[in-house]
Amino acid sequence: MSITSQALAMLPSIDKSKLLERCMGNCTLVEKLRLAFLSSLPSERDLLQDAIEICDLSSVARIAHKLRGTASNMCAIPLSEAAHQVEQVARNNEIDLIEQRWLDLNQHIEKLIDALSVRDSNQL
Amino acid sequence: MTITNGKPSLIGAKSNGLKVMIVDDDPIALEILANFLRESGYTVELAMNGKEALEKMRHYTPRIVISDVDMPEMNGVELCRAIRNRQSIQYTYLILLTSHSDTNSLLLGLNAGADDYLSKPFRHEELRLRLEGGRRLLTLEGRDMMIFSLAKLAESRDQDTGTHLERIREYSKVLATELMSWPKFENVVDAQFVELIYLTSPLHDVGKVGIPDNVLLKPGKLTPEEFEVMKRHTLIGGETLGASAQAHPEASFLKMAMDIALKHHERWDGSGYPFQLKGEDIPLSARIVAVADVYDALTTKRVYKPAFTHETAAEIIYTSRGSHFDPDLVDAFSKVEEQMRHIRFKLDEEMQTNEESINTNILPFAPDLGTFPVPIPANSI
Repeated sequence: MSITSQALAMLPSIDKSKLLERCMGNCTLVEKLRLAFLSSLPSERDLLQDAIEICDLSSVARIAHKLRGTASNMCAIPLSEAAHQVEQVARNNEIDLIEQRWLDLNQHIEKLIDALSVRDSNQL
Repeated sequence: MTITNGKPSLIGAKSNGLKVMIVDDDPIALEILANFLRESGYTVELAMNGKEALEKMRHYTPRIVISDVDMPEMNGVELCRAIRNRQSIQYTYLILLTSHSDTNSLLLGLNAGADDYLSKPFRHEELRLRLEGGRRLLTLEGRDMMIFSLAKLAESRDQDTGTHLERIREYSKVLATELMSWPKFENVVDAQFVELIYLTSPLHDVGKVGIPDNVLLKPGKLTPEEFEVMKRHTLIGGETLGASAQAHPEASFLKMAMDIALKHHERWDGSGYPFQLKGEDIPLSARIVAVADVYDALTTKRVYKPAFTHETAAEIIYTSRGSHFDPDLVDAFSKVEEQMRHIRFKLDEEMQTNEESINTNILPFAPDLGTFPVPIPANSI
């Protein structure tokens, strides 16, 4: 069951307590993951945008799938769900829906980059 | 990168000795999974795709592999298939990481040999339970211990062997490990081969169970007739293990055990027994154990000879290059001499701790020493 855009917007970009739990309480690891995710997000976004511009739906689905998985591991549920929606429309060849889904996803990426761009993970 | 357990900060993360490889092209997923496994006491190796995983498995033998499905270079399904196609002594338990929507890949993965699957993102408790399932299956493979016990039982009729079996398997492992880095043996000797020879070399003399006491335990020189009886231990061991290998063709370790038991007294120049095989007609495993067995016999005290020094034993082995021994094996021996010496020293020390309670006066039969340029009774060949 997909979450509506409105509901997604209500959720925090990243669920820090859940992430800490996934990392077995290891704050150093949380910080390491924050930096890794922050550095990979812009390039993932660029790759996805390039694939959308040339209507390469198979690449769109693949990149969105990977982004969805990483976001899910990072407990960034809104981004994960938005990436899932892009993946689905790409897999279903719903070209007319891609643009809107991509805009939604991009907003979540921007929001998450802001959330991750803190001095350290204690401020998440 | 290998992450081992037992870090000072991991209080309570007791090692369970199980090696796990995680394969995923997402570094964040790798880190989270590795952290969980490390905290749970596993030793962890990481790979970014199937190809890298297989390459690492030449030197690292995980008992459990947890792999993502969708990866570049070689995906999880292809990795499952490749692992199952290996001539592996040990069973590798395979767990696939899948997303809920990826049921097609999951079916392909299970069909390719995966044992279990886990939905992403994994839940700690679920992964713990799945790993426990894998551990239970692997425990059923208590074969290694059983094989060594069988070898020890067969050896127990000899009265002066001490840690002979332990030394043989260590020497064989060292020699095989050396060959692993040689281009000539690149496609023959890998980590699995090394583990296999370590496991099966102690069975080289298992056929002695069929040799009568009056020959096996005779303290003095064997007559030519008695020596003919003694030589039959290769056939007895080979036939016994061969029958098992035939009944269980999937158990590759039985085939190697049979080769070793039957042919470790063959000689490179064709003057050995029981079949007078020559050169590469003698299986590599048997050629390796031949060197290990003779080195051990030379450096061990016997009723008819003192324990030779490592230098003397090494000289004898070098002299027999191309006659008794495979020239490559002698060259390999020259590269690992120091390790051989160290093993002997270490295991000798361990044996001396218990030696007072063991009768060490009699060992009537030794491996092929007869033609060496040293004063050894001819009937001890």
